[in-house]
Amino acid sequence: MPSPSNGSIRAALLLALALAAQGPAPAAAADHEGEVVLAGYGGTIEQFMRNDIIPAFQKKTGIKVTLVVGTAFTNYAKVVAARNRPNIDIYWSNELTHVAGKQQGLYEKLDPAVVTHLPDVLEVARDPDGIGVGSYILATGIVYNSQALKEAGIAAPTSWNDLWDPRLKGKVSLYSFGVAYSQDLVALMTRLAGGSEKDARPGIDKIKTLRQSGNLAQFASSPAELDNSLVQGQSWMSVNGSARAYMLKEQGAPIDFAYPKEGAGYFTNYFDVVKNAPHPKAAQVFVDYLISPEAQLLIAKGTVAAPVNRKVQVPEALKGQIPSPEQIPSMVRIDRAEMNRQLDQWAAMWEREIEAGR
Amino acid sequence: MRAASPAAAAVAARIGASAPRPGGPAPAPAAAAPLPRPPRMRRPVVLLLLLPATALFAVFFLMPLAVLALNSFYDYSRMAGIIETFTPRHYQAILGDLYYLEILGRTLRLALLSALAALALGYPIALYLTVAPPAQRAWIILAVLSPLLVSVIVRTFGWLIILGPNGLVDAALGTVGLDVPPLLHTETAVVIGLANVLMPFLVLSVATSLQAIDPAVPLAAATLGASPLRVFLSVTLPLSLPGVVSGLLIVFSLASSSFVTPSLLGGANYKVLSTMIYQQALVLQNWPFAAAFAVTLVLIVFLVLFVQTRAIEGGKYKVVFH
Repeated sequence: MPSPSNGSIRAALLLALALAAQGPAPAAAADHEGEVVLAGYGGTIEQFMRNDIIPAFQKKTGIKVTLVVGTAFTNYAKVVAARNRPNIDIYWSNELTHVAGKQQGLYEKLDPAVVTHLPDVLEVARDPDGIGVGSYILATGIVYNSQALKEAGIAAPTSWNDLWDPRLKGKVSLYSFGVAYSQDLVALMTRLAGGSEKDARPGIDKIKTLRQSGNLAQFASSPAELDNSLVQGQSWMSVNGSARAYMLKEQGAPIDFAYPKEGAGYFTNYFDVVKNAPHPKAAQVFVDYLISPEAQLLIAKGTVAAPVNRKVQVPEALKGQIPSPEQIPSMVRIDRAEMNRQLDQWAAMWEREIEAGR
Repeated sequence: MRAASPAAAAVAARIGASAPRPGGPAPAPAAAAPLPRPPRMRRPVVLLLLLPATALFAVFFLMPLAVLALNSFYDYSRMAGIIETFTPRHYQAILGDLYYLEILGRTLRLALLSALAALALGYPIALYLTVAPPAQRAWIILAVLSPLLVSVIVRTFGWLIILGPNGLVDAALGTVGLDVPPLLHTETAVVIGLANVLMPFLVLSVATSLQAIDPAVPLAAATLGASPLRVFLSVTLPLSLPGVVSGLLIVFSLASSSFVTPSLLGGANYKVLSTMIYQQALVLQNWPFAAAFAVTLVLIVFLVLFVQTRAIEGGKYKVVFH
């Protein structure tokens, strides 16, 4: 029966399935490796994966790719649920599920003998333990409606502190905590206030003043909602990844992006090979292709993000839209392990003190 | 949705029980005379017929519910994942935290308001449905069911446009000189969205009850000099109570477990139990805590069902429920 509670049913079912899958199971024998299963993202990413990358890889190697579409979180739930009998070979994780999964031993090391493009990958995009590899690089910074700011006589932002501009009363929006950029904002503001990820209190307090000042008045639970609010001018400034801002700009919206001078956040997603994956060899082969210059160029264009492979010839048109080789080293690397450890508390503080506005 | 199953089963039983009588108006038995009992089915046959439904119910409702309940007592740490020890701490967290209690209260209020709104909108439709000519009836039912024929996302986005800034409501109020803040991201918006999609359940449930009323009874009241209003208040309304109650219960349980409508129309700030389940299960991967929220939701619906049954048993109109 159609109902508005599909989401909750799905979440509940996922739980039930997860538990059912907990029983001990023999690792699936690596029978034929003519295919590989990638759990990735929907939307524009799905389009270029299906239209360009997957056919090219299939043509090159004869390996068939099955794409499981979801978000980083729903796909992670699938990986965790099936940990004793994995059905996914490569999981396109976000930084947090990359670290969380590593801590729980869900991912396999990359095999340098197969993943031969690894030495060409920028140092920042490589995992220190050789588990997984970054897929692209974006910046977490300030996104703003350039037209609205101009009309109000406000200069384009250059610093995180510009969010506190008293002329922006009611005009700052943020993602709710469920979206990674707001989680990163807590870490970035904590750093700005002189703290570290070990204790996010300073960052929470800082963002709280943004709420109390009356500037921060809107929360968006999805990228589409935030885009809408900015494009329609309901809010003038927000915090988001560089890619979405430049995609909107390209479509003609009066949207622009600023790298705050105190440092934009470093944001990436990882390709992780799932431990005991049904097609372990094909998985390594596909990861190698995904970080090859050929695929990296396609991914960089499709995601409007910097490629991780330094051998990619970035087209001029893309250069202004992605973090440059000079900018990347200056971006703030958040301590993901510590953040992952603390995330429950961060969520609780954010919801009570910032969103609920107490 | 699983929370709604008992209620849905109840209404299904009622709809089945009062299928349109064949052969025009049946000879009306005197109100006091016992109805002739249908021939009794033999027990093995009954059991055999019930088997598929029972098996389905056990496998897809009772078992997952048991697993969910068990999981809600497991411990969880972000470093180690789910730890299979017994701990009541998730329930302690829910019941001992004002923030969560507020969400619990908001969920209950939302479900109640949606049920009442659906009743206010749906009862007149159900009433008209019973007197409408048969040719019209099919069209009315189609119109009533139409919200269910559209995907929840599409329908909710429709409301998003209608209720949003510069939307239909905003513009209409603006033309008459009323400058009110947009309805979007308020509780009213969520109630409107839920009442819209859940009303069909209420209409069908009430209409079934109304159709089961022997037409001779209100006629008799009118013959004895009762005004139409009096006939409605003293005869029709009380006799339709079973449908009203089960309709309210269905809407209540579906509204309390709804996710898409509150999150889109209520905005990021309007958190209900299903939002917490999503947040804990997917964003924070704390499945045991999410399970505790889910079990709490199921318990609330059962509690409402229980209270409602007790209220009926002791109520003035208990005779109409038998």
